[in-house]
Amino acid sequence: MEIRPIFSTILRNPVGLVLIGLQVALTLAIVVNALHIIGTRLDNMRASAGIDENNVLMISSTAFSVDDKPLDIARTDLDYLRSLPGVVNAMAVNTLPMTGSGWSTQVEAAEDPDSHDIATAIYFADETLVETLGLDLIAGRPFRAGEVTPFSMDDNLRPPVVIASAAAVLDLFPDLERPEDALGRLIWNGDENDRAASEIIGIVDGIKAPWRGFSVKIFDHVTFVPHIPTFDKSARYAIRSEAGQLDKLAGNVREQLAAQNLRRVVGEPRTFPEVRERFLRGDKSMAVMLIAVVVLLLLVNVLGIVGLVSFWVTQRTKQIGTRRALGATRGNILRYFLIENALITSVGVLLGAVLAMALSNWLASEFSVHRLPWYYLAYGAALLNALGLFATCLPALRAAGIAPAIATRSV
Amino acid sequence: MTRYYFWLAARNLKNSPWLSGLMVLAIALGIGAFMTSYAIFHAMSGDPIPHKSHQLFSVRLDNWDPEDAYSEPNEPPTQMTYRDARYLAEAGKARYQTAMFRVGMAVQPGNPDIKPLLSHGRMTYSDFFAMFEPPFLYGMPWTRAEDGARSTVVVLSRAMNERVFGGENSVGRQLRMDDGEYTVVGVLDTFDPLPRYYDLINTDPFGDGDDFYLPFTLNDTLKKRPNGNNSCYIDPPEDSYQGYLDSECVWVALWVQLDSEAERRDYQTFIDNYVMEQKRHGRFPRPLNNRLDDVMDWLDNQGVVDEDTRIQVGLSFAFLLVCLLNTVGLMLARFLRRAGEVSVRRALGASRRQIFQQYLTESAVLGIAGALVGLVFAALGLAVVRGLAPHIAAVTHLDPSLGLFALTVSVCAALLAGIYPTWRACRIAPAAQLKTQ
Amino acid sequence: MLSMQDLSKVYRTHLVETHALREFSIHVEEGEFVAVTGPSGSGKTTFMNIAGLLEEHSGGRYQLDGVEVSGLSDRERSAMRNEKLGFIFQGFNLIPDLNLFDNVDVPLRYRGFGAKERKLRIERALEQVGLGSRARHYPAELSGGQQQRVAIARALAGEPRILLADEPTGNLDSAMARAVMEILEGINAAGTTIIMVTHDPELAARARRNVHIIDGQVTDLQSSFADSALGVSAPRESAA
Repeated sequence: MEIRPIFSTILRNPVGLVLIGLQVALTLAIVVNALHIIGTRLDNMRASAGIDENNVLMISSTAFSVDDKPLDIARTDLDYLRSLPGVVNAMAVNTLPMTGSGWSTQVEAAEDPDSHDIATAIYFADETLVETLGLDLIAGRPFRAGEVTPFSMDDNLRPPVVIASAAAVLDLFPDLERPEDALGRLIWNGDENDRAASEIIGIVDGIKAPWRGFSVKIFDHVTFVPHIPTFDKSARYAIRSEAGQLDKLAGNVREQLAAQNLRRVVGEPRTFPEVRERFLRGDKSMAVMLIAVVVLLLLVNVLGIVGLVSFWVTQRTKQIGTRRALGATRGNILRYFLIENALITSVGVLLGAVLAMALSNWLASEFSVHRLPWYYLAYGAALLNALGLFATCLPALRAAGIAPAIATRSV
Repeated sequence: MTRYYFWLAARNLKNSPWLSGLMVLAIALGIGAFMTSYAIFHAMSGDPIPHKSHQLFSVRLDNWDPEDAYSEPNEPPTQMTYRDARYLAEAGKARYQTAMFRVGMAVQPGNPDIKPLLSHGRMTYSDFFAMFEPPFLYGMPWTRAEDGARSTVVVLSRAMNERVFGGENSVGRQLRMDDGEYTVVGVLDTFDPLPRYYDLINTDPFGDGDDFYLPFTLNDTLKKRPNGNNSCYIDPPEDSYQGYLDSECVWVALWVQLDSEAERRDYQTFIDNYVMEQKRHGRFPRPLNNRLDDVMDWLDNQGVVDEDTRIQVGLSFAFLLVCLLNTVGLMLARFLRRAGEVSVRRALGASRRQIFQQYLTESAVLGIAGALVGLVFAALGLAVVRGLAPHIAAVTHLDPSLGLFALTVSVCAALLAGIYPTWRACRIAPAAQLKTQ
Repeated sequence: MLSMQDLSKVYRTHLVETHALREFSIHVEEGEFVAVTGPSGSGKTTFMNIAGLLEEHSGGRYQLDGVEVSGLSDRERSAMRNEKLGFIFQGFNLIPDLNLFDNVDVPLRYRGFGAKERKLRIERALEQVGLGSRARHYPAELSGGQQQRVAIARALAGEPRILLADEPTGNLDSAMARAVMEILEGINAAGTTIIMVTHDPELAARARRNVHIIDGQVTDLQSSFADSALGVSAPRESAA
């Protein structure tokens, strides 16, 4: 069957073209952009924090007496925690990946005349860091006990040695091919008049910062410094349990720690799986909302096409009967409707592609959303064409079933 | 006649349950999705203190790095240095003003059965209560005189008073915090402005508030570090608490109340002069860039309505549009299928206008039905959202005004969708369908 | 009662112009029963549509009950249809979704009568055609003859001055057709003017006056009233 007469029929009464075409166009524009955002969010949700996620928790201790020495309390607490059964190791920290709060600073490559600075998260750690967090140390060595010093909020940060994430060193030293080669290099930290150089002694892979930046790249930039931190009168500890023991540990550790020293308050333990769930909550709810919109949108589209094509079939009953009487086969009738819908959908898809790109540009300019990759459009167009044909089939099969005798009846 | 049209519309809906159901479903899905995201948006973007949101101003001074703005495009820091905030708060140039920051302290109840608990409070001036108008359950705020005298007084939140004093009137009682004794002068009633506009930087805008309030001036002896955001572009001049107070680190917020445009202008001049004066001492290397933002501008500046919510509102509105296009098609099918009836009615004396009214009424009835079903969908949608995002849960519910809004949107949408099909229906010539049946 | 003078009706598409009526003149007096006959495509339906204010004419004059209808607005024409005219169609044209009561109610609603008045008129009209007990039935539950009687009741309920019937018995068998015809004659006897298009010479013969249309013009006229022919050819005895 030729396409031209079908097309001219469509143009003679363009209401269907406008209604279904616009609907398909809008749907395509929304669906591909929503799918793109959903894809990004699902990627986010898969991100690993670079630590032994299932066995780490964090707990805080705050003393309230002026006379208490927070550092002494921290050391006693750590000794106690390390002695607990089911605990692999523990150390004083300031924060963990994905908690949403922490400390970041700018660092730059020392000895490099045209060095640029990068933002990096600062994690405090001691000699047990690899074991306590379950880090993937790909080069160099952990801190030595002798290198680890106390740090209070009154101090300025001037660590002699640091352990950095692979992504951070690659961004800091663009000349390096492998992150391992950054060992022994120096990085600057601090403002121009008061710079301190730190030697990179270890490289860890996969560790994540407490938050994800969009305009500033920071999620993969982490620097560990060898200090036991105390904040006013409080300290925080990261504890790693033996595999599978985290819930048990989380259930008991607060009471146990509090009993050691009554002159302070021990906070609620936060297990890393909880931290992660909270961190990804926004991504998850966005993904769920958008998936719901996409599914409903496709459903509404199918219903709309079924509804309109059914109406056309009813309107053209007599015409179809006449065609059948003149020798058209059922297949011809079915094909007529399918081609007609494919033409209309294609017009909609073309318009939709333009709309989708416009929407994508707008989203990218107003929000933290990246531009739409072209293949989303291709998939989206294929999807809508397939759905359009499917939706047309239902009423078109009814049309194909119309008896030729209809034509001769006056009713 | 209107009743007759409604009666006819209801009959027609009943007589073709499938097509009617499809149309109501299309409108309801659109309204449901749109209202779900709009309810969240509405809750987040509300005016937390409508009667004076134009009189309360967040103050910002730009003491940042000469090379780099605090954030682009050329935004001053969101908070102030301790010394600037304290100076401006005590200069008293506005009708009311307060500097404030958040601290964490251990509360030690007198009752030995209650364990010490970690709590979060606010160091602020007595003007805080006059400006932000938290309701008092018992007692009253401390006074400006007590600010000056560094009195050891405290105002408690309702929840904290319940935990420590069992909810009774605790005014005049002593409260022990971090080994210090404080006299309770007031207990607040529930104070949950949404969003918590006076501290967007250090608290969740839709989260819990402060457990207690202490005079800012007490910090002279307490020497607290902020339990909140702190940013420095250069290191403090010396490694000590005093060095921190004298540093360019920003961690204190300043709010003022200015009741007229003239007062606002005067205050702007005042802070500009202050910064010019400081420049002479080698501070404030950036060009003059001091800001006064009223509540709604500040909420906007800080992006309280997060991006995801905006995107969701936009996309769900587009979804509603698709549902409407769908409805146009289905209505067209429905109305034109009844072309014969239109002809008969025309022959029996219905004017074009009456046919128009009849069919538009039918559209409106579809809109009403769509809104009702749509509100059920929206309630389901919000239930899902609450499961996914508990922090938003507290603030989103479908109140009568949102229900009315949904009804308005739905009916307008259905009327809009019905206009073309109705126009087609009333253009049917009276004689057209009478012969052929 | 109804007077057309040199009426013309032209249908235009962008390709062709068709003259459905040309210099068409007819005058009908109050109380007449006029049968209109003519071959298919002669302009009978166009005449009925224009007479019933369902279509506008292209030229000439048309006075209905003393009112010149050219240039009336849609609203005024609709009001005239509603108050002065009743229609009966070959296909009955009942609204299938409404029961008999509500079908008869349709024109009364547009008339703006109160609920009491409408109920009274509907019941009286259905009684008149012998369907008073069937008010709550739906059209699909009735035979063709009964449906046509409902259509007559609907036309009568508003007490029209003229009843326009287009092949009212065309879809009915002869027994039913006779029954319908008897009702029409009764209505006419009570004073309502009737214009009826028919193919059936037997029915046409029962009318008091016959009009024949060919090629959009009135070419022949028979009447039992010697004085009723105005501006057309001489009266003859009807062949009944």
